[in-house]
This record gives sequence, C-alpha cells and structure tokens, in this order.
Amino acid sequence: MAREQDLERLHALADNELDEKARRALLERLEHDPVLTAELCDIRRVKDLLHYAYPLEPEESERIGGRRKIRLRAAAAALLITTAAFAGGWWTARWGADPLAEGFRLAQVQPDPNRVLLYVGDSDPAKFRAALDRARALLERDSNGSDTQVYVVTSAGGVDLLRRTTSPVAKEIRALKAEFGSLHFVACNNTLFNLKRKGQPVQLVEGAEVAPSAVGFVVERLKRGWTYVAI
Amino acid sequence: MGLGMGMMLKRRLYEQRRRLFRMALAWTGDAMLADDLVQECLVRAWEKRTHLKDERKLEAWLFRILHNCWMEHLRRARATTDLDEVPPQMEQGPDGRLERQQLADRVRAAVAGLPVGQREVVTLVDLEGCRYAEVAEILEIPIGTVMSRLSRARAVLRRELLHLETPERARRPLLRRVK
Repeated sequence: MAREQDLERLHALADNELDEKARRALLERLEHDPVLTAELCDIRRVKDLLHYAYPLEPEESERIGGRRKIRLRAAAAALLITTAAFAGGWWTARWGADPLAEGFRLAQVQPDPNRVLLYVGDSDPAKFRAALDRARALLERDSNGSDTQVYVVTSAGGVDLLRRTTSPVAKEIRALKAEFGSLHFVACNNTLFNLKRKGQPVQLVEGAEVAPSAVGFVVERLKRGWTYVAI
Repeated sequence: MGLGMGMMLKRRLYEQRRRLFRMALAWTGDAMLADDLVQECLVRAWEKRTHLKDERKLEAWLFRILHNCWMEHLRRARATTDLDEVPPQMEQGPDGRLERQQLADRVRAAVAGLPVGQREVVTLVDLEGCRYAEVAEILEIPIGTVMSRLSRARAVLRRELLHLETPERARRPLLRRVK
C-alpha cells in the first residue's frame, strides 16, 4: 500500500470513517508498524489541539465601548465548565448500566457508552494497577466487534504512571498497548512542564501520548458523550 | 410552517449560534467578522427557512449558509484574489502580545495560515465532527477533495504544532516532545 493511501486511511480511521472490516485490518497493521502508529497519534493530537484552541464560548459575552468583544479563554473556560458542572449538578449522577464503566457523563450530550476516560491524579501504585485492570476489563467486555475506546488520562501525581523513572507498570502498559489498539495513555503537558522546570525527568514510557492539558482533554471528550471514571 | 413550528425553528437557530461563531472564528481568525457572518447566516437561514426540507440536517444546512456568507464576503473584499491565497486576518487586541504566547493562540495562528479551503475542511471535521460526505455537501466539493484537503491541512498543522521543524519557530516550541 502506498504511503499516501496509508495516510488517507489513517485520517479516515481517526475520523471514524472506516467500516468495521477496514478498521480492524488497519488496527492490526498498526500493531506492527510504529511509524504508522506515530502518524495516527499525531493526527489525533492535532484534532485535540484544534478542540483546545476553539472552545465553545460561554453564553455570556462582554460589550466594550459598544462593540462586542468576545474573549477566548480556552483553559480557563475548560476549568470553569468542570467546576460549574460539579457545582451545578450538570453531571448525571452515577451511570450504572455497565458497572465497568460506572462514572459520570454530561447530562446534555448524547452518551457514547463505548468511550471511557479513566483519570488518575495521584502517584499511587495501587491506583495505577486499578486503572490498568479497569481498562483491560472494559476492552475485553465484548470481544465480538465492539469499538470500545479507553483513554487513561493522567495529571499531577498521576503522571508517575507514565514516567519511565517512576512507573512500576511500564511493562504492563506496553503489553496492553500491544494487545488493544484503542487503548491510549495520556500525560498532561502542564504537569510535565512543571516537573521539567524542577529538573525532574519526564521521559515517558513507550506509547504514551501528551495532551496540552488534562482538564481540557477530559472536558472536550465529556462534551462528546464520553464517560469519566476517576480511579 | 405554523406559528409553533416557527418559534421552534427560531429557538433551534438561536441555539446554534455559538457553534456557528466558533466555526466562523476558525475560518476568519477575526472575532468581529465572525460575529457579523453568524448574524448574516442566521438572518438568511430564517428568510430561507422554507428551503430546509429535512430538519435533521439543520446544522449542515447552517454551515453551508455560513460558508456562502463567508465566500461572498471574500469576493466583495478581494474580488481579484484567488480565495486559496487569502492571507489570514489575525485578531490584534491590546493584550495580543500576551495571548500570542499561549498555546491556543498558536494553534489558531497555524489554522489561520492554512489556505481557505483546507481551513474549512479541517475545522468542519475536527471541531464539528462532520462526516466527509457532510463536508462535501456543505462546501459543494467532491469527497476526494475533502480527503485531500484534510490530509494537506493536517500535515501542515502537524509540522507547525507538533514537530516544530520550521526554524523560526524552533525557539518558541509549542508542544514539546518530552521524551
């Protein structure tokens, strides 16, 4: 397959435009092709960056001197959305149709039961293992062609899960990544930046991805119907 | 269309304005112009409401009107310029210097640097989650063109935002590889 065709298919995979057969075939290829996998990872990161850069504006806007000036506050807006969501009961209470994916979703969006975010915010080996176990169970729950996607998102102490020098489960992560193409591990770039500024090593385990902000990453997916599970 | 249906449509149109504004901002890079385009789009949608045959396609229909509004604006403003060569109109505010250092602004700058056609396709797919066929319908282009524009746009954005291969940007990395 020519590289151009490969790229077209990767874009189609990232945009959920492939039929099941083509999707599975490409995912199998990706397991043995780190170059293509990296390409797909970059495509997804670009998509995430666009979402980050163009958040939906909050309802309120400011009028200055008779001219509307609408401020773009990507990170702040994301944080506000999260805070307001918790404070205002915007979240559905526990969603318990599937005990494995019991968590929270935004009430106003169309839910997508096959998309799950597992969030780890503490440097706790027990939580790291719990996150991996939960991810495996979710991905294995229906082996008959479901397209479950799981993102393990880390920030603050949780990034230790993905740092080479601190992760007690690097091998398990590598094995899981090899087994499940739709499993992703994401570290918050803000946390990594702060660690690096303090002179701490921030090399990540193989296959880990970096998002500009864990909060923004989570909020954007919640708005698209993902389920959020705090480990 | 009865009074009740009219009110319902009016409300649905109103509910779409933030998404339309986000798209218009991504296309134009100018909040004032985006606001104007959205207003024009909504007025035109209301005037042509009887043309909407399938209300399930309201969003795609609105994006198509928004696209037409912008194309008309560009034609009026730059009658002799190739649309794909229109330079970005970046917003300059009093706090622009500070904002330019922020990640979101740099992403917007990279998007604004794309040719118009690529900018529209990549934002419709990535921000709105439009299917390729929907984008083809909205922009009235073949689906193959949607795919090629998308591929080219993302290649540029990856180079600009992820790999930082451009020498002049190397000093101010946007998203560093931390490995």
